Amino acid sequence: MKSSNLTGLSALLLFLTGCATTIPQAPVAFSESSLRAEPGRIGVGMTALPKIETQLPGAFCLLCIAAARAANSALSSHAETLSYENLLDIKQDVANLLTKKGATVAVIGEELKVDELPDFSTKTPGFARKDFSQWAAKYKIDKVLVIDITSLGFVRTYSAYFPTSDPKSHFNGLGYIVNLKSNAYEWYHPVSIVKATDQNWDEPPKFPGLTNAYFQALELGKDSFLRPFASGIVSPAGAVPTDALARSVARDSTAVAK
Amino acid sequence: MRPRARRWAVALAMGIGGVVPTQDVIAMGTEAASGEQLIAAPASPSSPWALRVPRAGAVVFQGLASFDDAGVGNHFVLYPAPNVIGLVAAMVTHGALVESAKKENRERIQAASDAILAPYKAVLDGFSHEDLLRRALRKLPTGTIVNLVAYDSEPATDSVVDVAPAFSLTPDQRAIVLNIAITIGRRSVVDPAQFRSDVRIVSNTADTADPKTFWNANDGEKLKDLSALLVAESLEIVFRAAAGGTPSNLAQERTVRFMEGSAERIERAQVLENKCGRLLIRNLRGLLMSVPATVPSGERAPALAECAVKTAVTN
Repeated sequence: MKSSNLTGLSALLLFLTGCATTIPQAPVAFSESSLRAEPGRIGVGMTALPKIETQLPGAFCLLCIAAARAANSALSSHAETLSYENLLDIKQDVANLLTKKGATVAVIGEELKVDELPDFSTKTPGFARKDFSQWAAKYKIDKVLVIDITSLGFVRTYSAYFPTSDPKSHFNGLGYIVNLKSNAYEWYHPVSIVKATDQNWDEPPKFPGLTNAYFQALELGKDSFLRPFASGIVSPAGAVPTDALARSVARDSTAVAK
Repeated sequence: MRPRARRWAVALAMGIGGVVPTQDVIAMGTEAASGEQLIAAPASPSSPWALRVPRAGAVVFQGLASFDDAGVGNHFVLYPAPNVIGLVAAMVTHGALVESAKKENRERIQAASDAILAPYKAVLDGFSHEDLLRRALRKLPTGTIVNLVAYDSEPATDSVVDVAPAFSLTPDQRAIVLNIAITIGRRSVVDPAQFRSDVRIVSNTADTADPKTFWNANDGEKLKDLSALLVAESLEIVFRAAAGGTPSNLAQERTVRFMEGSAERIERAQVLENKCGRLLIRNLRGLLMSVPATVPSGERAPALAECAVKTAVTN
């Protein structure tokens, strides 16, 4: 092999290795003991809700994107008509569950703007990338619990011009607690829900099957944020009887969600 | 539903004795709200009707599949394009391959779900539609006069009910789901006055840690009996719906949770009725569904004897 090729290969490897040094944050389970160890005041807030929309990953080229959007225009239009229902109530529901565990909780009414925070000096797993310390004074809290719903609506995968799946509803988000003294995560909980229709999906203009799947994902997504606080120490994938969860957030006894 | 069909369906509903529509259901109808008289005249409780056995002989059972993970990924593809014809050929080939892969993927998921039926093969192979419907008719209220007729024979009665049931066993094998299309019509299959409704019934969860022994015992008696009970419940629901007109838009759409075996299910629907541990709901497709209502811990589930309508309890 020529030396110029070796140099090029080495540069490429160095570049790729450099990219790979960013270690993704692993989930951190919520532990009630963290409430007892540092009792302080916990602020609970949410970032701005994302637009409800249809995503078409895999349609890479410009023409593919145009074709995929045209093929799914009715569904995209329908997605814009869907509601968040009581999605914003999550922070109050989480606050209620934490209060039941003896924590002192303050619900932050305004939208949290995490992106506007400065970067944290340390890029080590276990610590937040942004420096949350200024929120201690701003909201008079010792820890902050952030619920960040990142995408909501429908997703249909593509390979160039062709769909490789039927459209499905999806709900993606991230919940975390940051200790404002150390900037360390005390809970880190990615949420990813995908729900398919039980039958045919292509039912314009109201898409009842996919609309049902949307509300399923919405409900399961909300549960995912509440479940860790419903019964003590639960791992992100842990299962908690739903009726316990339902009671914790004061749903009615017929199991009909509001 | 056309007025003529409704009058006729009401008469049929009255004809099965105890399945008289309740005032609650009638009051929820949109047409009832507009003041239309839904029950034109009392019919004789002894009016006979016929239940036609479906053409296929064996009862359809499958495993309840989830297609949440269906799909074949979003691979990046570069089309070889020596010329326009080559590009078009590449795209057509790609499209055909993707469609084929998607179909295979879905079939594989369904086949994996169907695998849970293997321990019940002997019972299911011998479970005919005729047996199913005979059992179901025995579960209808007393006084009901029904003739079971073969698909290709001429019913003696003017009123004919056609059913197309399909059952699914939940992955934990502890509950059965019935999807059934029910058509109420006259003797002629081309009668425009037919009333058709699709119904889904989710049984209560069987209280057993060993479903194979539970369902297979006594030549599958419990499996057959529950299947028939679900059919009887679906007939009762459709007759009431036919008599009461289209259920209302007055009930607000809500997110309803219920158990399907040991798994929780969620459905966006209108709640039409909540009694005897069962919810009657109408989902966004207009499908009528009878599902178990969640009983909060610490509360006693209602006993069958307390309920006027039989519920799909297995234990």
